[in-house]
Amino acid sequence: MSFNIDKIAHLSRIAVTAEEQLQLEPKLMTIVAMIDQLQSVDTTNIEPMVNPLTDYLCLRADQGTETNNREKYQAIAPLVASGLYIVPKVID
Amino acid sequence: MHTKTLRELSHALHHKHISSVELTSHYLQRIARFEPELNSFITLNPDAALLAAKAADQAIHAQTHGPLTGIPIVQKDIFCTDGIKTTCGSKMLANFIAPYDATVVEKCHQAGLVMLGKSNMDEFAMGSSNETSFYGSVKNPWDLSRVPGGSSGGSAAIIAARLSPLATATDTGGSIRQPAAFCGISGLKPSYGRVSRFGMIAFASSMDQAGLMANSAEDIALTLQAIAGFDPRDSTSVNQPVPDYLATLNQDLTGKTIGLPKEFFAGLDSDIATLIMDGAKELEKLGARLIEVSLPHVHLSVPVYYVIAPAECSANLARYDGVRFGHRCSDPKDLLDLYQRSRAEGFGAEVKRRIMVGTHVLSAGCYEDYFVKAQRVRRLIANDFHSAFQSVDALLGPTAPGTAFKLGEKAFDPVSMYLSDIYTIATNLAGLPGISIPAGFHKGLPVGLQLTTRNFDEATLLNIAHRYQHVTAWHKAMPEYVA
Repeated sequence: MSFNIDKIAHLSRIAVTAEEQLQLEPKLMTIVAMIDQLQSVDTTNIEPMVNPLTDYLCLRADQGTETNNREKYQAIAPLVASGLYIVPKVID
Repeated sequence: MHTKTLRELSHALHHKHISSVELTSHYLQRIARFEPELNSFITLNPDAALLAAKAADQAIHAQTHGPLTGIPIVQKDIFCTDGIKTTCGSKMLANFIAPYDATVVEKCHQAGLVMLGKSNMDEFAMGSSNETSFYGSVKNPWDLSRVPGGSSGGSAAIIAARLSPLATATDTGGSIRQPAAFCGISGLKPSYGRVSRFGMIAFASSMDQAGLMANSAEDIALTLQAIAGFDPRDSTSVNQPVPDYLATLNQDLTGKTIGLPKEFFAGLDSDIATLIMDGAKELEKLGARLIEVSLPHVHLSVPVYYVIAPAECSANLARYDGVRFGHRCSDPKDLLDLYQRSRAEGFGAEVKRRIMVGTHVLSAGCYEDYFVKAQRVRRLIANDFHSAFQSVDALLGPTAPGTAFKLGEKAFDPVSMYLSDIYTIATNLAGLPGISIPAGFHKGLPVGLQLTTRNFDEATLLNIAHRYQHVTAWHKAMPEYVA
């Protein structure tokens, strides 16, 4: 399996410098070689297991249970103004 | 005081032979003495701890206390604590103060436990040596040049050095059991769904599980009673009654069958295998029957785990975008730059690697071949356990392939590091409970014995571990350095 670091770094939204890329590549290739072992396993008619407890998953009533804690939650935000999270300009 | 069992401490507190303030001060003094070398805490909380101890003493005086009231505990820094910093071992959350308590923390408060502080850990619980922590490596109290294991390395070192009688920990692929083995303590990973994950910072949601570390199975049983149970705030927590773990702790092992998976012993270091087999023979003397079993797909656990865990981690860690909380880069030129640089600066190398592997296996063209394939092999591994439990009550094997390795020894070879969890990962994939208990020493370093039982059968796990500790003294051994 090939690994396009530029594409994956972009999808991951992680900036990777050229120097980091050189260090990352051999490590990622070793990991990929290790997980490639799975390709040789016969899994015909085996259902994927997404969670150990699919039978038990518990649903709750569709009712709001949280109160408004905006001030408390925004106290830990990097940048807020007038109750809004501030990010760089998105629309020109 | 730090050599007493939880039951002895509880008796001493509730009969007013000591106060919680005295007990808490004793541990705080030990922390002040040993912590500078061990680096096992990220946040210390002495003033709040003494206040909580005072409140515990008042509850004891008013006779409104429970069995754990007044006993100190350390929370792994992955559990959100209202008003106290929660970093998860990352620069990303260096200034994060959670606006609520995790359910585990809340239950500990309700039980009257006194929080001493928050323990060091691998960044976002991704690591097997505690070397990925942004806050520096933790040292193993048995040998300061060695790792304590990970990711709950801080909690394990704290228990081994008797800086607290109790610590919480979490286990996604062995993060409770492997450090417990490396530090010569007892560590329980409960069944997936047994203890709430609400407020426990997510890594791989289909495997993450909260658990406990202490110096004995009995101490763990007492505390599990307080933190186990259904939580409506965690949809993966299971609504099943919590049994009385103490009631079955001393049960006779006659009639119990313990399986030794042959795959766990093939290729195992012969000295470690001898110690593990000595442990099995002790259980045989106590009445258990030993039989060999097979888990034919267990050798695939590491590759399955390193597809599923990174995939889930890449989705879970997408929330760290520099907008609502966590690290934000300076002067972002646009929104993409804000995301990319905040994440590049906030995450360490191992976390980035896992996010990128996870993003890759979930990307178009890889999803079926890697992610879904790994989920199919995961079922084969889980089925092996279900088959084995048709004929046995518990499985027994080593916790780790070796003892604590040197700091830096595996830091540059991720796959070699991943293989140190080779015996623990399968349990997480299947969602089963597991415990590591001390089983002797190899060249002066602790060796852990791992037991696994059926889903939600922590009672049998604790019963077997407790009976073993009743006839052995490995769990009482303490590093000379901290005696």
